[in-house]
Amino acid sequence: MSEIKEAAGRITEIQRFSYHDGPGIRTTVFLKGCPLSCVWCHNPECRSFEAERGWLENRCARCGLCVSSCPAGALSLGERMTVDSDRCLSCGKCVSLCPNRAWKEYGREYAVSDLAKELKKDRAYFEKTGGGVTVSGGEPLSRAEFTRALLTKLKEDGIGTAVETSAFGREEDLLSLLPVTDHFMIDIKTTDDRLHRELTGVPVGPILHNIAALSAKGADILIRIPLIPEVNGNAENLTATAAFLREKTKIRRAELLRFHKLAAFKYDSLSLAYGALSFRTPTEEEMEAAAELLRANGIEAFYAKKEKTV
Amino acid sequence: MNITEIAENNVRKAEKLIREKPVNSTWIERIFLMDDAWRAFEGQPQPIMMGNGLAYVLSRCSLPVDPDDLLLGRFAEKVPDEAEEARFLELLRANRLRENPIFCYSGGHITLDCAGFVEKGISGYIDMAKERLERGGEDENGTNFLRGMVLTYTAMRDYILRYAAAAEKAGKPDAAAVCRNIAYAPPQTFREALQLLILLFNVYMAYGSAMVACLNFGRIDDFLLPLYEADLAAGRMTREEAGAYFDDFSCKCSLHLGRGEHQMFDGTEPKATGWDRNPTFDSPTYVDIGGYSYRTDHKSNPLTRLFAEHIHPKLKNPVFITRLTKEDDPDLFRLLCDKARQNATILFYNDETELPAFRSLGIDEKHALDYSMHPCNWPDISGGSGIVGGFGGPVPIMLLNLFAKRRDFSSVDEIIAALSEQFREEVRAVCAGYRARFRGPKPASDGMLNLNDVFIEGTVEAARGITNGGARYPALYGQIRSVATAVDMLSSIGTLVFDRKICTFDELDDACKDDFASRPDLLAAALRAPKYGTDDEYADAIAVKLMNALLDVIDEETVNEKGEKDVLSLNTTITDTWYIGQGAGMQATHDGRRKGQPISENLSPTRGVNDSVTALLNSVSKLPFRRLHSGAFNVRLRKDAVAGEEGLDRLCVLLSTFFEQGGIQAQLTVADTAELRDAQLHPENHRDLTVRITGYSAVFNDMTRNAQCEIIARDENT
Ligand code: SF4
Ligand code: SF4
Repeated sequence: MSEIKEAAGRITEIQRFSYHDGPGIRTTVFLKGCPLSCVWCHNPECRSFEAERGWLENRCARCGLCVSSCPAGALSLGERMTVDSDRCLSCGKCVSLCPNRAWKEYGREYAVSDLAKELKKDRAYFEKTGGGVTVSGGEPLSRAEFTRALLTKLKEDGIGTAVETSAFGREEDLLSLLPVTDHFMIDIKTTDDRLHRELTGVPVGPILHNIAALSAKGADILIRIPLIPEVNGNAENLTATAAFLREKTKIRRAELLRFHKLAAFKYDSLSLAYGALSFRTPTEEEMEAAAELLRANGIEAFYAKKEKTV
Repeated sequence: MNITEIAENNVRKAEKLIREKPVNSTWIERIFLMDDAWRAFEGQPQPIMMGNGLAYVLSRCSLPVDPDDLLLGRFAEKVPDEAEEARFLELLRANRLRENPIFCYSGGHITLDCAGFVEKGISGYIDMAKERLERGGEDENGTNFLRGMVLTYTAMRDYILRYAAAAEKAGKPDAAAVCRNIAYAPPQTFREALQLLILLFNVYMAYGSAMVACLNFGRIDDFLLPLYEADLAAGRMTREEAGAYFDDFSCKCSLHLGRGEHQMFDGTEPKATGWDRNPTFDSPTYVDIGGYSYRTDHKSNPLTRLFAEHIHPKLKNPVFITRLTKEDDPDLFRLLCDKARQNATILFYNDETELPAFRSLGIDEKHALDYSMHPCNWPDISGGSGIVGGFGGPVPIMLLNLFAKRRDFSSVDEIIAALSEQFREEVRAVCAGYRARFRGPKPASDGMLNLNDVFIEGTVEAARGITNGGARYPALYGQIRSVATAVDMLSSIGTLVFDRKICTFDELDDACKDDFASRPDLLAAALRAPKYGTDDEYADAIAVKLMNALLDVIDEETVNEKGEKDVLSLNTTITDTWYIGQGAGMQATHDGRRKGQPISENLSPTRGVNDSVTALLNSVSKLPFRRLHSGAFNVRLRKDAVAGEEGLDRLCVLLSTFFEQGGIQAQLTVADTAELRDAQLHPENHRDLTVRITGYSAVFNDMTRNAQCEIIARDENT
């Protein structure tokens, strides 16, 4: 007799009261693992498909307990904590022994039904604001079966859904999410294949193809362009992106995202190198200029203004 | 300038005053006058001494009039010169300032019967006290009490008349006329009523308060409505003018404020010294607005709206106790949320949970509808109550006391049951004392007159003070404090000992005693056990069970054999800032809280466990608030979360959902951690940054370093 096993997924984090990942008040679930390796990635903890542990410097009391208890001798504590990922057995001992909650665990396994239950807790807030659940990553397409099962469960329960994806994956996987997804949010960094490979490690062709295919099916898609002045902020790149949208899709709107370096500390905590240190946060003028350029090319561009006070 | 512009200008001046007042500025004139009065009347019976003393002070004090005053009522304040400072320090050393034992016996922390004063006027109270005195039937103590009352009310009336003369001299005949009118008759206009309230308030704040004065004016939007409407109907006043008077009222409520923060000072910084120089220097002054009413239709009360529009986020006073109902106009709610996100001192309360709680006290409907909060978030019944004692305290300490006596538990339920029985002993003893004092035959007069007695209904007729049986509703505080730490202790015990069985109760209890030094594994496990405030069903269920069990005890012990409610217990979860000091003296607890760390604050979860505001609100709203009369709940939000129109929408949804789900109270601080840190480094760039402490606002720059760190350590809810 074969046991029917529910799909399980590895989750980095569940973020409630999120309001930048689709309409209304939302709960965003970050899946673990992404085939891209964007140099500026804001969620480095979502990149690896394996469970990981992040060390939070401001909580660590430097008692050394985790270091001395690690069965693999993978930890060393100098000025900072470093994890030798080749040695680490992912036994989780460091996390469970730390008396100061200084280790954060990324990559808890959830069955679909348990996860859906957790994600539905803010239903009252979703209903009042047109919000819902956003599946983000990591890359949801890399766990298409799990994502589809999760979204289906949420839809059955009347919860609004959104997917944040790079669109890098199999076309049929992406299209299979359409019936259970209200909104898609897809990044386009550049349409230039050489540059795309350089920045993300993967070709851009499949991404553009998938966006066109999804758009043809009438999906609600919000294109987002992370703006890094010295990388993709030039006129050539923005015009090309606009041209792609106009010629190959029905999409006529795009949001510009302001690149920032707030994620640098996460790289530190994971003993990872941060490749985007030399990049610059765009100025308000650069944001506006990029938006103007897109508008001149037939794309209604917008971006969140830098907030002063309320 | 028209009156609206004058008022706005006055608000700006008041804001500036609060920011720029020198730290050692004080009411040196008042300090010396009070000491002179004390010497002059020493030896007299206390009520007489208080009446004569107040008359002495109020007939000699300066009566500053600013050309832009719409309402009168200032007092002399300055940085003392050398000779004055020397005398001041001498008095301080001789313990003749705020420790002054008898002369002006006061303590604030009360909602005054302002509705009564507006209805009867000061003259009405003088007549009432005289009539009661003539009727007699009291022993010497009782007679002195009444004579003291007559003297005190008369001193207040004469102060009002002196102000009329001062205004006349300063070329303000209309302000003078207002004062003359209210000296001899109840106020006939909206302006007269506000003027009367401010002058009475000044008597308490500036001249009467020997100890501290935290006052609430009660439902001003409600009891002032008839005068407001009559003025508008008669064409005596416009809506804009009413707003201007209210602005000036708010300014006057702020004049006494000084620099500093009294609750968290450590005595090491000059900012902390105001407490000795002037006991009211950061006293919050509350007003209640909104909520169900027996006087008016609350849904369309135009004064609620007007006052809400005139909340000035940068003014620390008045503090607005804003009562919400499910029938409120959404626009009004949005307006209030908009003010709150600008860090106005608005404390939201939910009538839908408060009214059931107050009605269950067996008080009359009128008084239930007039429920109130006095600083800081303590429950009260407007004008009809006073605090006469209490029981309970921090639940984590109750648990530790229990564990010192007994350790053979087999379930969390059993611990809660044992805790309830231990609690019952205390409640029963306090209730017995209460019954003996307030439910037997009329007690003999104790011959003491507290300034609070002068402002409460019923005391004249009874010829007794509040604590002597003179108040209609003498109340006990039933305190269930630092709930989160207690719940987390039980959750950890339940998880580690009874469910996962990774240790015995004794092992965990022993580990707490040596601060987990020999059992870091248990510490780590305890920290990872389910926590209250994270929308975790296990922990939240314990919270509900624990609260209900303790409240059951209170309910059972506050009724007599006939089943009648005969002890009035106002149940509250507020901690003020004591949670820091209490934690400092405590051993480690079973939830993984280390020795000396603060226990949990108000309704907040244990520090560091929470990261989502919706999870927090969901957890908190599960508590049985319809059985609680007050509780404070600090929510700190990032600016980004509430910025722009969408942010305001979000804030409205957060709060309205919380209240629909049964939440009792919320008070916001909108500030980013980075901003608070920067304010410590560069205070000059953050002069307007205010934060919410137990039940009032503090200017961040004016707080001591320790207090600032305390605020920063509170979780930022994202
Ligand atoms: S056990 Fe925790 S506190 Fe101790 S060194 Fe490791 S991470 Fe730091
Ligand atoms: S997970 Fe286990 S092997 Fe890896 S670092 Fe932590 S204790 Fe060592």
